[in-house]
Amino acid sequence: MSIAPAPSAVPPAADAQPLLVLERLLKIYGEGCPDCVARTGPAAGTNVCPRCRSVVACGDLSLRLDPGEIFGIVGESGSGKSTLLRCLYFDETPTAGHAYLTPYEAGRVDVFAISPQRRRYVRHHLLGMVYQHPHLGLDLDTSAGGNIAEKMLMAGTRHVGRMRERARELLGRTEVPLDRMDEPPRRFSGGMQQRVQIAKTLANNPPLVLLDEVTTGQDVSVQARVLDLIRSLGRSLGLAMIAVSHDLGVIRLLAQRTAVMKNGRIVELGLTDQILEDPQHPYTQLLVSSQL
Amino acid sequence: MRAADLLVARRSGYNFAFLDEHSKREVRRALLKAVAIPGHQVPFAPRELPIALGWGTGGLQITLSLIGPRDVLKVIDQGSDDSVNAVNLRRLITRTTGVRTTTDTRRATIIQTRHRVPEESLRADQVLVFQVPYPEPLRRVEPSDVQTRRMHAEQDYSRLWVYLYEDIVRWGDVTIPHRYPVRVHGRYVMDPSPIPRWDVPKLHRSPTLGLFGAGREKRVYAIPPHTRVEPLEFDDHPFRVEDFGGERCRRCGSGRSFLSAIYDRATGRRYYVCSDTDYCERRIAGGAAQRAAAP
Amino acid sequence: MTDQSASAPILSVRGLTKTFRLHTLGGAEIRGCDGVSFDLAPGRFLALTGPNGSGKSSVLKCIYRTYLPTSGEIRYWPAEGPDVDLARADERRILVLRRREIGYVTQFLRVVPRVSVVDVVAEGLWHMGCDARTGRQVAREMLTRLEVRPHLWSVPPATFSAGEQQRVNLARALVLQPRLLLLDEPTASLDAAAVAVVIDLLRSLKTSGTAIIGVFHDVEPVRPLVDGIVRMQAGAGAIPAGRGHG
Repeated sequence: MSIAPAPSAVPPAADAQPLLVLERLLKIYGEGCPDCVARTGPAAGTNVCPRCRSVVACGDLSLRLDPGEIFGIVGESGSGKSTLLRCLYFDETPTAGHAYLTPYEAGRVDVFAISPQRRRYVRHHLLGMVYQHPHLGLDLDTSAGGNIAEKMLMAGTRHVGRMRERARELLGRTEVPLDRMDEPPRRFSGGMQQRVQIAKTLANNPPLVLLDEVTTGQDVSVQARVLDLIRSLGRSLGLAMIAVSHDLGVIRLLAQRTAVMKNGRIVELGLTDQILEDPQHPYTQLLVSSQL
Repeated sequence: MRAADLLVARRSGYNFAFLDEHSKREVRRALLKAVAIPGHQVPFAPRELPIALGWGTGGLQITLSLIGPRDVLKVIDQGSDDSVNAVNLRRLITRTTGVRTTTDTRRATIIQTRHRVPEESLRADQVLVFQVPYPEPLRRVEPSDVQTRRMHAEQDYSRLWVYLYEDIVRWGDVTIPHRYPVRVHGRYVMDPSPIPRWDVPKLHRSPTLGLFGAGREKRVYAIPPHTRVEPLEFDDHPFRVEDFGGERCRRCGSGRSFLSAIYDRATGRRYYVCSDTDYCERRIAGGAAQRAAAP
Repeated sequence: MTDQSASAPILSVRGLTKTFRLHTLGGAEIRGCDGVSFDLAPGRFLALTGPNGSGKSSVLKCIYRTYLPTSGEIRYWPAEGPDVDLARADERRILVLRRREIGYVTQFLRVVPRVSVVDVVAEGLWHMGCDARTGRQVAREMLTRLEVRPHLWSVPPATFSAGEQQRVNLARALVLQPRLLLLDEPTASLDAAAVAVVIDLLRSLKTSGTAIIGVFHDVEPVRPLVDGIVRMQAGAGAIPAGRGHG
């Protein structure tokens, strides 16, 4: 049997340093009180603190992500999964918790505790976010190319020609017709807007991309194309991703490991096939058995 | 101060330079902060003035707060000493101070200007006061003040850069004719007031203190002497000043000054004259003197 | 059961039990497998047999960690580093082993839709760091060996016959040359000629040191390869039988 050369170049991932370590992320909307965490969660059946009426969107969430890994987070709306992503992308300020990214200061510095300027650096160089609604990630009235240029301008590129070259390359990869590069995405279909958003996300080669319900609300054929694109980008660029979705089908397609969230907590974390075939938590079992 | 000048001021019934001394001090306090943080917009509390907002109240309050009896004042509007706005501002200042005025850029100690920097090189003993309608360079791309302040604080100027990028993609070049955004001391991006691009390079490492006042928007900012002032430009699309295609001033023949286009109604033809009238007059006078001196 | 004269085991299963607790059905419990124990050495082929519902597939899925074992131990000796209990190891560790050492051929081919046969087979190689071209080249060679007709290679396998799907499924696992290969009814939907090809492939894998566990309803077609049989009975533990696998 003829077999490819032994891939000895690949590092033993489990022993290697994780790309992201998230420790005890807490996000409370409202005043908060000492009972908030204890009196909310799946056991309480709510994320609203009965004493102070604060919402515990994320209660003590911890996870580790390996380089190149696609991690899924599934749960119903209001389970806190999008808040988790928004905290990681600095769209929201966590109430407590720590996050370490290996490409930033060798993972020794808590990125939740750095200055706004440094956060901007991390956000634009080390992270990418693809929002469910393209208008959150794109300026719909700035050309597709201009949107991609913006990311590069944030990173200090000051050369129009080089930015246009990179925009062409990325739009080609994301299957956006190049003759529409100088048009504003407002004129594009939803699926194409989403692909422009993905191209923009990739502009500075971030090692970690966050995907927030990227296919929700789109036609099935558009969903399929976007998911195929994400899969092939993940593989060819070696991107690590965190994909948040309420759709187990999307998670099955993308993620190797999956966390199930309910009422602001991770109720179960495991290999995606194990979550789907041998769900442990009652909520996961309900989720899996409710699949169409 | 000459007794006659004091008399002029007293006769107006107002404090010297119209504003009360406490108000002047507050403006100067804001200006000190502005000088300490080049290009940064500092809020100040404008006073009621006998001219309407939008007619140079910001610049006027800076001038009134700084002017002393020995100062020599020049006020210009688009390079001209004679336009209505310049005349009125000059009249208000002289009636309440009694200071001498001049049209000669070289003789002035304080030059208040709307939309131009004089062609004559300025010196360290002069102060240039700009009247500013829109102090926020990010207003083009962001309507919210909260956001623009955050963007300045974080040096997040990418959207302004995108604006320039889009301009280049659409028109082949940056089309901003005036208010061209500049970066001051390598940090804050600043609106240099609606001066033409022609004047932007004059701000770079100028020995003259530049003070900017926006009355309606309640902001002052400054360029201290010898400060780096760099227009935003791309490596492959450098900043360029206006090109008059080889045209010269019809009056003085200058080919090295900012020119205003004028349509001759009789002939329907367009011709050019210097925007800076003082500069133009002096060239004409100098030319006449030369001719007179010639044998 | 373990033949100490053979090389050290690659896998040692002790008291493996899997019970499903169905919360949606009022906490009803269903037995998957109960108290299964066996050892496996490199280059050996162990067959799990027994009637439907005896838990044969559950054992494979527990080893692959698609099922979380309820109790028991699944000790595995990887190519490098210390041994690991697959029943309890960190998922990230399991993923690495799956990518590099442990292959699993499921009973039915389940793949991402819209992906061509060649890419389905090559994908595992890509995950191991193989470049796109080489991966596809190796995949084509494997498909040729398994006699999947070339005109099907660029087509997604969803519409294939059961036999063709099964060959793609096998190709996907075999191309990685795993150290431990788990097979769930690999020959069920194949004709005699195809079975012969598969047996041939498995034999060469065995020779190169791959340890194999196969679930068979009928073990006869692969009998020549089998070194040991574990017979399982519905609702009961595993009863070791056959000639052992020493």
